[in-house]
Amino acid sequence: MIKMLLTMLQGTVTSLEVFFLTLLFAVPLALPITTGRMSRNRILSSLTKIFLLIIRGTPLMLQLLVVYFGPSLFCIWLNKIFGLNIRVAWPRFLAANVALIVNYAAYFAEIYRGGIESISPGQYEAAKVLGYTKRQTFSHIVIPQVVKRIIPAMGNEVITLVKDTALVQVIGVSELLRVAQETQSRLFSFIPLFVAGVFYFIMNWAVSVAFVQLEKKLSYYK
Amino acid sequence: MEQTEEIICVENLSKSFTRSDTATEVLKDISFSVHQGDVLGIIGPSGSGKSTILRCITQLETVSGGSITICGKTLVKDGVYADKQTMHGIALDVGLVFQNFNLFPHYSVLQNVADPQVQVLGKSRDEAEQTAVSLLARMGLLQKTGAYPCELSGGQQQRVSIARALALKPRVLLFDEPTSALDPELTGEILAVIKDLAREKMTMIVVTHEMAFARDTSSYIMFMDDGIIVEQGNPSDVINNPHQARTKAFLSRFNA
Repeated sequence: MIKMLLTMLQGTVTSLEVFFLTLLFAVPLALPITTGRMSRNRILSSLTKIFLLIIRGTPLMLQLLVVYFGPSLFCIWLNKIFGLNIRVAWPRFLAANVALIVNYAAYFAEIYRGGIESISPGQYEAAKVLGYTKRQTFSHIVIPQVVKRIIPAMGNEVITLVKDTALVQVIGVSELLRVAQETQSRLFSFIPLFVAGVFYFIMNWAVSVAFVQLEKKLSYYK
Repeated sequence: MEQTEEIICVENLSKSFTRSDTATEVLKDISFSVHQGDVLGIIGPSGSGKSTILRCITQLETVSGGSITICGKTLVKDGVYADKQTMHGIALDVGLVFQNFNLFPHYSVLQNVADPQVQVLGKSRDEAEQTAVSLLARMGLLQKTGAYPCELSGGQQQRVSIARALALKPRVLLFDEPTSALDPELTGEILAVIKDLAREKMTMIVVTHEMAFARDTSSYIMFMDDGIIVEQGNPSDVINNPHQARTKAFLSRFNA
């Protein structure tokens, strides 16, 4: 029993690693995507739109497979054409994170855009008349207000991320759910799956509490 | 008569908005000037272009033609704008108080008044807060320095926004219908603040629908309709004895 829990904790650690790495990189990466999407440059905004359409329009599981197997399949194809013998393979864990980061950055970017567009023009006008530069307006006036407004939507997305970490098993990363399934078939027991469920639940409970706290902290103004 | 410095000079200003290929001319060949210590009152029906004049002077709108000179610096000459740096410098000479305040909701009252001084004038936080506190005291808001805009009445919010504008020491302060979002009681407190500023010889342009206030506080009045200055002159003449039919019609309810 204790041994089972220990193996499952190892899977949980992997899941948590994927979760935190995705969050750490997707949150800042979404900002340039938002900027591209909102750009007045037609080419840039169209390219960003297409990118968002593809990322949000295809299954995350498919994206994981493409990111992990894509490069090596591409090399095999190159080798065939040019008669070369190059091999590339990259670590599953890295591929899993890259796919999740890109996918989540796309969703975050659209949430940011919604937040930015909800700031009234009067705020920009007041800042401009006072003599704030565009950069100062964005970092001192717009961003702080956007953060407050997007917290509920971000909470949703982060909770989904906890559960989406289970998908990285399609490229062979031993995260919590995969470990649970293996343990289940080894022991012929339902308990590992139940335990996995409890673990996911606890993680998401922590996420919810964190977001409620954050919302409270920013509730000093309307 | 003693010659005072010209603060704002507007010549042949025109502005049109284009929407789906049809241009609407909202300002047609407007010229006027404001000198140090003047209070220019602009009255007229909604949509007559009053606010657009203020928005052109504060660079919130781009003019279609004409010239604007502020404190001797050319903002735009015959429709051609100065370089970015000059424009930014000119912006610092002009303050604007909005109809709906536009305070920064995430800043306390004190921060609303102090932060622009830090960001824009490069003052130290301490120095900026000292200035802010003394201005807020003058506005009767010393008890509210720690409050957030959402906790204030409309009148208090507008007083904060006046303090915020004054903190940057503009050469001229523009008011865009500063009391239109307020009930009559709160309107009084804002008008009193503006009257005080007028007594201290603050140069101002006030767009307003408060006729009695415009008459008593302004040194000069312009009545606008449909993008042109229909009538202008001495406040009591324009308001109590208008000559133009359009001005008479507009003021008929007030003078009845």
